[in-house]
Amino acid sequence: MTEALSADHITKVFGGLTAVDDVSLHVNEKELVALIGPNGAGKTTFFNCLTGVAPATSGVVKIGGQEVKKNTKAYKVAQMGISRTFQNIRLFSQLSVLENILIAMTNQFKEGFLTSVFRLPSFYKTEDEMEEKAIALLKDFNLQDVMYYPAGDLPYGTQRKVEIVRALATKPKIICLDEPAAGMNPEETADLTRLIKRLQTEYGIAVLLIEHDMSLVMNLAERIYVLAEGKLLAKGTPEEIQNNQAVIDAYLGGGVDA
Amino acid sequence: MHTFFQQLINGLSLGSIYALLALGYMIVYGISKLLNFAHGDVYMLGAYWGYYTINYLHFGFLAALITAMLACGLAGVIIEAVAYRPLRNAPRVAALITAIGVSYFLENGMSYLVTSDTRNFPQVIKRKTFDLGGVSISNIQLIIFATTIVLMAALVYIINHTKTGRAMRSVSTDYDAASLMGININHAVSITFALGSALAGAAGVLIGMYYNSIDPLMGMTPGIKAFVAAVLGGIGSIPGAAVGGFLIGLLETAVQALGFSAFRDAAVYIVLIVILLVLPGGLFGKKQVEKV
Amino acid sequence: MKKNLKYNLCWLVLMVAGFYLINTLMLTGVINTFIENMLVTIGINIILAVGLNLIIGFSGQFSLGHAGFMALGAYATGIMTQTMNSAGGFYLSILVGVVISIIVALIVGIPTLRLHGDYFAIATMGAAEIIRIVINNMKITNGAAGLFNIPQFATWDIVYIFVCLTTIVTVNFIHSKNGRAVISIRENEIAAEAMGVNTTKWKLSAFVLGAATAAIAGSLYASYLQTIVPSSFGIMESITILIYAVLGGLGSITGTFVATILLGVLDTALQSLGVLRMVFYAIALIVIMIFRPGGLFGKWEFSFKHLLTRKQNGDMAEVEKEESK
Repeated sequence: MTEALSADHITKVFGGLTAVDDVSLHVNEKELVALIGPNGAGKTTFFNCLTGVAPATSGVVKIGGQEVKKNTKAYKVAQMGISRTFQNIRLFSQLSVLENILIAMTNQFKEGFLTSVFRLPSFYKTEDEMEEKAIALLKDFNLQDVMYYPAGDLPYGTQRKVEIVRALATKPKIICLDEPAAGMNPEETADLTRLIKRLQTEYGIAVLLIEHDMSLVMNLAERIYVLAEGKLLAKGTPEEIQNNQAVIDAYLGGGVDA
Repeated sequence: MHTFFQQLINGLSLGSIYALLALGYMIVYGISKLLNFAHGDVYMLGAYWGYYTINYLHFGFLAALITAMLACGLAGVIIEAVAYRPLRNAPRVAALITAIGVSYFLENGMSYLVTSDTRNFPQVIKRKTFDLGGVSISNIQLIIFATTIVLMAALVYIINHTKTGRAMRSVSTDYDAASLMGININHAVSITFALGSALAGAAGVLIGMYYNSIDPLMGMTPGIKAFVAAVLGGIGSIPGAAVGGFLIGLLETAVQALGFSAFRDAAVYIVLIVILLVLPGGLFGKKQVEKV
Repeated sequence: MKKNLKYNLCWLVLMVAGFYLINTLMLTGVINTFIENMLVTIGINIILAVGLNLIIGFSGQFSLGHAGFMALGAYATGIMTQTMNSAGGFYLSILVGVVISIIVALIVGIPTLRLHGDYFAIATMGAAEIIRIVINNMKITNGAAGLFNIPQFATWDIVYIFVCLTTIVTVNFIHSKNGRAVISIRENEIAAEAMGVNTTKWKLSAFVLGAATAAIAGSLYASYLQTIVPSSFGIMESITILIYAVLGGLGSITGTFVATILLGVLDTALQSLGVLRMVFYAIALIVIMIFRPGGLFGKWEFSFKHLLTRKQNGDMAEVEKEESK
């Protein structure tokens, strides 16, 4: 089985503080994996290491079997096939939903400077083609009604959804979702669960998910990794994790209701 | 060796005026995140205050200095209330444009009122030159230096050891949190502008004494240099702003002494750019990292 | 394709109509030399402000050194047309100015675009000052005395055509895939990178394109005024250009046009007041900013597409759909 993502012995040190300590993890193709852990466990930092936002101090990340070389810029890492959403939504909020999607498709199309500046026929062809694809994608997620609205004006739940679809529009091998259900009501969470499932089944994309909502995690994830104080505490199937005493002590029993 | 010490003394006295300006600029920038283009013009107001009070009211040095500080502090408070406060929640660049507007207003308003002629600053203290083994130092230079040190010490004391200073620091860090803690934001911002502008006023009187000549556009370049000094030292750091100011003074004097006076300003900007590229937060600044 | 043709045609008609309007007013003597001077100044300022708006309003990089690039164009033309006194020499000098400006923009931009916000602003301001000081101390530029008797090839019609050309290039760049990548950096740099947008490349592209148009404006300025001195290209000139861009609305080319024309006319109208002119100008700036902090037009753009579709069908959704194109 091929791996969409593998991370070997990732360590991230800030000054004297080790935020992520020798964590290894892999996500197979089309697999849905969750990363859980108490607040401050280093989950988002780990995401930042994977996506090149804040590269790891040591360790190797491979995307689709291809190694991410040291000092690769975040946009290049993204081009290798990893996409993400952010804990605090980061949409291009003054731009329309459609434009958000179009920007995510930037690298799939070629459009020369002169072609666009002098509006040569091929410019309109590319633009129409891009737009068609983007609209089709938005329709698929039932977002066509809001596609001309500024992304920042949408309700919170819809913004989260747009951010996931935007991540999908980059045609990644794997999408990393950073707390997608945070701040959502149960109805929206149910909707989100279906959406994430569709990424896997219909689009054939692997998903790595950080989430506090245990029902969502237990519903969706095929395997779970547990992070505590920067270290990998446990890994296994949802059943194994639910019955793991160390996890219960460190996390589930630690005041967070599962 | 003599020339070296001579230039060192000249550089330090010029630098201390830049340092005063930079400190004022820095605390105002710290609290309002505003490129206050009018700061240099407040310094010009201070110089003119000195000119008129000494010439017509026969004030002595200390009286002129202190009243200039009070007058400029008041001017700072008024400028903030009229031109910056309405834009506190607006895009930052909007406040920048009003700052430029205030600067134009002060420069041209003064040109209209007192004409744009260059004037000789009155010799309120008779210049005496002391000879220290071949190196000459004037009493004016000593006064500038001493005044700067006293004012800096006072500023550090106010910011670090008084309740007002604590309020100013908390507002600089986070408006919303400070206001939730019951701090009167408007009050803290006003006091900061008063202090920053008072320092500019003092620098204005001192430069008048040092160079002997003043005009309504005299604040333009020093205002920008003050910001350069504050950035060089690292925004948010009091010692940084002071060191930045002294550094620019020394650098300018050195370049001039080496015979490249035409490239004096260019040297300052080259050093600024190089330092920013190596230390993006300035010499004493903290590197800002956006949290993802 | 066809629908786009219609809108593009509208713009073309507008540009030609504008040209003939000015031409007729000129021939009938309504526009005298005084007003012509004002119009040309406004045109040159539009080129500068549109370029700066691209850098600040669309890519989100706060540059304070636009006058430096203008100086490069002005001096390229000033120096070259003195030996090559022909229209061909003039256009060649524009090209040379643009090339030099692009090279300098790359040298300045590559290291400094890593800096953020005010740090980038002060670095670009410093770079522009260095350019000015170097020009001030060179023999070929005649130092602080400047160049005079520069042959006049840039008449009002040439300036008009260049205003149209540079605006078309800039606007078309903004409304393309590449332009969207540039705007995404302004909106959220971290998200743009996560979407695979090479932020350094696109920031630099916008900066270089803005610098190139500034050089063109500089060439026109030198050739029209026939006299240039280094002190015309200082911080104050950069700030003047900034004022046009901000007052119109960062992110609105329409706004840049309106603000530049408005302030240009205001400036001329107040000319008789002497020193008081700048006092009123200053008050106008403060008042406009307090009442319209986002600039006169915010991010709104005039668009024929918008206008015509609204007339054809009242369906709001349709209008919104067309608007975003």
